[in-house]
Amino acid sequence: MRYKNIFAIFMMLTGVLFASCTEEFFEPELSSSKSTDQVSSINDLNALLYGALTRMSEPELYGRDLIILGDIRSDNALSNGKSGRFVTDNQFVYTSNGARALDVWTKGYEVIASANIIINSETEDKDTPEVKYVKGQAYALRALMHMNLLTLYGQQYTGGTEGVPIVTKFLENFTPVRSPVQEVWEQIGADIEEARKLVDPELDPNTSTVPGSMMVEALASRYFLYTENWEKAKEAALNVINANAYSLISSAGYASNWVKDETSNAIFEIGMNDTDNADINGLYQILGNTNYGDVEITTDLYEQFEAGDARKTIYSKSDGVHRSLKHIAFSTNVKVFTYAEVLLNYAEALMRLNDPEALNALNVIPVAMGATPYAVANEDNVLLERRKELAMEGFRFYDLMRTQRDIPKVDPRQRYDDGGIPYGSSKLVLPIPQAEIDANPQIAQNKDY
Amino acid sequence: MLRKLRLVALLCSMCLVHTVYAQDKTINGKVTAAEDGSPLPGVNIMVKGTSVGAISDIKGEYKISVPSEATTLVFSFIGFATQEVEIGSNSTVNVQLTAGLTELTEVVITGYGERSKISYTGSVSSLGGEKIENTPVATVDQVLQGNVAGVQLSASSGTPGAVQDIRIRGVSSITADNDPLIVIDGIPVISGELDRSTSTGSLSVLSSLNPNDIESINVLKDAAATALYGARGANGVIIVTTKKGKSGKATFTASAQVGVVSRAIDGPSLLSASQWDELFYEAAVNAGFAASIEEARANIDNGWDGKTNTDWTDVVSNDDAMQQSYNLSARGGNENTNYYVSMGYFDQDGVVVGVDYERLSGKVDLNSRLTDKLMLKTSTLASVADQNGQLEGSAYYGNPEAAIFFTLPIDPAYNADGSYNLNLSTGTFHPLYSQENNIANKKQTRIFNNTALEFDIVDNLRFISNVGLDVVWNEELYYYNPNYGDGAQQQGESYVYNSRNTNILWKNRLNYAFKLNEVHAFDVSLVHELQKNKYFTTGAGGYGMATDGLVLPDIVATPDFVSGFRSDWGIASILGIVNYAFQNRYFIDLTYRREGNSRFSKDHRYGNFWAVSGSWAFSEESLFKESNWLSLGKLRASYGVNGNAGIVNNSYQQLLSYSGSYYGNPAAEPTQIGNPLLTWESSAYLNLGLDLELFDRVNITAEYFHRRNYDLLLEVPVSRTSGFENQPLNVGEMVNRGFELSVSADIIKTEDFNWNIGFNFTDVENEVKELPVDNTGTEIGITTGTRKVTVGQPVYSWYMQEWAGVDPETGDALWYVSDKNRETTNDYTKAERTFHGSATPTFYGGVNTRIDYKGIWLSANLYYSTGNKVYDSWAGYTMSDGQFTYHVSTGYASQYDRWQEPGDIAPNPKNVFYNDSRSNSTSTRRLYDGTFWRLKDLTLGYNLPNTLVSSIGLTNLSVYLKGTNIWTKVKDDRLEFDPEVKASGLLELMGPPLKSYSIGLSVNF
Repeated sequence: MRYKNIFAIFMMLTGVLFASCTEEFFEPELSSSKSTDQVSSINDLNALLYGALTRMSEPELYGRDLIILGDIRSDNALSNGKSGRFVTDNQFVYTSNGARALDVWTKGYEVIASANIIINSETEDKDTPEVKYVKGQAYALRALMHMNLLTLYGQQYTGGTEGVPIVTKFLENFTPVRSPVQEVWEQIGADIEEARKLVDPELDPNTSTVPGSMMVEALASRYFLYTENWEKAKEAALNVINANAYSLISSAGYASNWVKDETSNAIFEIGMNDTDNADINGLYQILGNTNYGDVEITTDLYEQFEAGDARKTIYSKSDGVHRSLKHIAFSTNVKVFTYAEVLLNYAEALMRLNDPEALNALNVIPVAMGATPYAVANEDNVLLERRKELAMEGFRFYDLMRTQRDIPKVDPRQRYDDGGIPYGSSKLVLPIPQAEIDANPQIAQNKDY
Repeated sequence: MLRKLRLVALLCSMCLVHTVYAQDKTINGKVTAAEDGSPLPGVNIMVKGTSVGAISDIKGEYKISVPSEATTLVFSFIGFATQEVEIGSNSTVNVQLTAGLTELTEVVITGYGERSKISYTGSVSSLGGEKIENTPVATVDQVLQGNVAGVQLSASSGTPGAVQDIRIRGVSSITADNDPLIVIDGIPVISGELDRSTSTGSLSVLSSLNPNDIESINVLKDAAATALYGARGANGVIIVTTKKGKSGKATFTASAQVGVVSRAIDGPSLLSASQWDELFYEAAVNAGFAASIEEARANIDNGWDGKTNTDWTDVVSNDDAMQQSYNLSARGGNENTNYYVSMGYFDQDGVVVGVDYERLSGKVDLNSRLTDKLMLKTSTLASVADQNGQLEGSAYYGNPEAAIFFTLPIDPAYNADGSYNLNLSTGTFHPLYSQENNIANKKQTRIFNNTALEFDIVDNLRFISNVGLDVVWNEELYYYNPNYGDGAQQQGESYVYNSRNTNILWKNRLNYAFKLNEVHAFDVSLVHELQKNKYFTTGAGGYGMATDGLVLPDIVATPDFVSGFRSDWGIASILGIVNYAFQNRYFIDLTYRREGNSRFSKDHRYGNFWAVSGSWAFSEESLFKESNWLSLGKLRASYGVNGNAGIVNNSYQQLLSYSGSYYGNPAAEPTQIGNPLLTWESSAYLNLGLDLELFDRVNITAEYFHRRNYDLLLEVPVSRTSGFENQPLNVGEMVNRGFELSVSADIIKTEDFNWNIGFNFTDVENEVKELPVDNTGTEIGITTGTRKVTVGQPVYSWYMQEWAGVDPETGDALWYVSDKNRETTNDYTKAERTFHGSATPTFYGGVNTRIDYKGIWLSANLYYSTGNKVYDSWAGYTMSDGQFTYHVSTGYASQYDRWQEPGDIAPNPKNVFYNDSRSNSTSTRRLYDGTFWRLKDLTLGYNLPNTLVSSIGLTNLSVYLKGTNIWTKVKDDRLEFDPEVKASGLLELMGPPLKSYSIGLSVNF
């Protein structure tokens, strides 16, 4: 009898367990994630915005590649190949299978996906100023990332018309095609206008590490410069200048002040602290005099600075090797929009508009830095000043491209052809990554890839 | 189950014993199991030298009439050691039979009861404990290679204790798990690794097992065998059975082994300093840095002192690498209770300085008959493992294996005063300094308890309840010293991780065996099973450490990392098993399992898995029954559907991860698209087999299999513009088909001299049959840098530009334009990527032999594998024809044979400083034939004569010399690395595989 009881108890237990446990038993624990449809509050939206910024801080974007790609493919920089990185970039050699083409594309659209969740969210408090503000920030980031992707993958500098896919909805279309360059520019412009409407300056946070109303204006001035709408570029730049909120880095102690976080020059920067840094994959390691320091500046760039130019102090020279000290530590924030850029955007817009004030505007920075002022405001001088002021911040390649110039070779250690890369060459655009083509076979590839 | 077995045996024996001679003496007795004293029905009792026999009854009692001249009775029973007993003048002979090693292959252990080999309808390969014990390997699965048909192993790393990639009959899934399920004493357990860090090798959970505690390993292959494990059986199941108690006087086994360890393969020869120097100046001239060699020598200093010629392979290798193991075990008990207790210690150095693995393990096994109806079995394994690894898998500057290739022969390893030369010309950190002063340590503690209560309710009706508790703790410490190397810039770094995995399983089985009309034997089981796995992990660390000698994160100035998370999964299933036997000749098995798995959403959680199988033991037919050449002949067929749920937990959910942060603010990122429709990957499995046993000497098993995996759990690439890389879908189809043959023959079988030789091979062909398509019907494949998944090719076939050699006129690298256009081009971008075969071996096997002569034995195991290619991931540096050869890495010695002037026929193109010809880009130049032969084991042993041994109070004493991996032959001369690479086929600067020579001693008393 005893055994029968034991057996009965076992069977009962089994039955009870099987019946009752199933629901809870099968519910997998989520310790650090939530379902996407649970986005419900301003806190969630802010977290998503920070998430978008985290993605921008990764090495594939502002954490390294977006910055380096603007200089390594120009007369500013070279790869010594010390750890074998940025060698092929310096050769202007890309393959659709390569990591670079894939990584920047992937991460760029990840930021857009994050922005789209915010923009299209239907939270209960959707009409509050705070929700509108974060949506405006998301529009600004979406515009900025589409612009980065277009200038890297669009055919505008190689004689083609294909731009990049425009994505404005989260998980809506898994087989997007490339929009024409012009349409992408229009979408970016529309996003910027939306951001201008929603980002209320009254709510601007007291930090330059998230996009605020001045970031949107700085973005607008860059956008209109690239799209050659000089009047609007000037207007946007003036919106920043007239806010009187920013100033240049002082020439005294220039190098040490430049690398500080949230300086008066910073309109928008990607925050980097110790937990955000990408270690050996970060900007500090690739630029610094370390075993992983592949990227040097060219002697030619170094020599552009006169002896008294405060900015020369931020470039080191030892054993004939020149390096940029603009990212001196893992935790150095990455400048995305600076007051200096806005001043230069303004000067260029005036120059293009043949405004007599152009020369004064162009000379604001050289004068402040102790360099000889320019005698004339023309495209060459504007580009030269942009090269000097914005060196190793990811601008040079695009400045040469939008002014339809060739990439000159200025240093024998640069790895591309001695004759430089002529404007229009198919090497000036990255290939659409193979992984994209695998998944989305109808997307068009760029020429020669 | 055992009871049922006995009934089958009873039946079987009744058929066998049919001739009766004149008798003049009657003997009575009772046969019991030594293990638990239970009566053994169905035991075959024969008079030695005659065909007179009898069978024990249900109470284990027997009665036999024997001829007057008879002297000996032979008691034999499946699963037990055959015993001979002198009759003498006795009329009562009681016998205890012990479960015996030698008879083990007669029993198939499925994890749901034991089956006699003759009645088993599935496909299984077995490996007995004698082939497992004393093997000098850290993870026991390594012994399967070459010993078992259908199983292919590749070491993910040669670091002792690292995870092995196991593939049973090919690759069954494209992106989901391909590893077989591991079952220990009936309890499915986790395998793989718990490590958080991926850059310092791995520590296999399976390494916690002491090979000397293992009685046998059974590999279940086809649907009939694996359907018992339902959704997790599709990749095969490896059943590990540990040693159990034996009733009787306590017996002890002690063994010791020590040995030396070195590289199984020396690795690639590299440029000597003078070759490097010569190439350097030639490259400078070819790059236009100078007009002539003389001018180049005059103007450019390459840093060579003219004398130094460092062999960095030698520098990083540990010349004193050792291994040692010591084991002690005891078995014994009385008729109601028995035990097995063991302790083991194993220690093995890696071949790279500072790499080692150590394990201390213990096992207690206790079986007790509580009452005549209640049996308690409990077993507990505990082990503590400690592994010091190295950075590996990539060309990290701190990876000592990478240092071989990323330092130059012109750099001395030591300064004049004997200290390390830390001033190397390339970026690599001095490997010895790094290994001595940095830490990559993993510790694993495991406690595994398995307790079963068996309740004999009434005759033939039995209830068994099993609880398995398996807890594994992992501790990891990664420390980079503040003075030099990876940690110098941050003044020292330290990170720790603690992980715990708890796996609980509760299994209840009701078993009933019955007969109809005496010829139809049924054995029916109903099983309910619940399994829950919980994982919890924390990690913390930072940088800035003020002093040497303190290595834990407690002293870091800037903590920059913290993490803590949990995940879990659960499985609930019911299982029905019917085994039917007709006259011990025809067998039919039906298995059905319904399983719910938490990895899928509510509506798609349950799956149904089943198998039907049958066998015909034609040797039992009257035609063969009298024959003396066919002892066993059996045809088998099985078909069934089982599944695979080997995907990341929570995959079906669309998720926002809140684990990130941005500049001190909490951040959320969409990390997973999810797929609420996600459900099992299925596999429809056909298996046909033939088993033959000839002349009691030759065993042959031949099998054909066809496995169709469909509704694959495929991570389908999605447009990256979605913000995601892929989405899991049930789509795609793949087929593995092939055959296996195992043969084992006792060539010579005499009292003093035995010679057994065996071989097995597996031929497996893989083909992708179906992949997802986009809205225009175009295939959505998966392309990696070197491989591609596409319909009509083996999964992950090599896919790259085809190397066409060197242009004799210009010295340019050449590639073929395409498969169809066999013209060559010197422009890499003009060459198409083409398919170049499988990354997985398509034919593999082993040859085993053992010779015993008067106590001396010699055994060998040779492994063979072919049909795959391996890709040299880092040859972009080491065969760069000058691009990196002079400032980043060195070159293979083969680089010296290069094109120099028009007309040269050379394997390597023109050598140019900063070479940008792309000659080193991905192409078949770096793809090698993976065929190899390897002598996995060679052992020479001696069993001291019994007379000598017993005089010093022992029952057995043996000594042996053992060589592991002592000889390797690689078919492709270009492949200088070890040919055993991970399942991906990529050579990735891992810790090198080991070769060892050991001497061992084993005593029983």
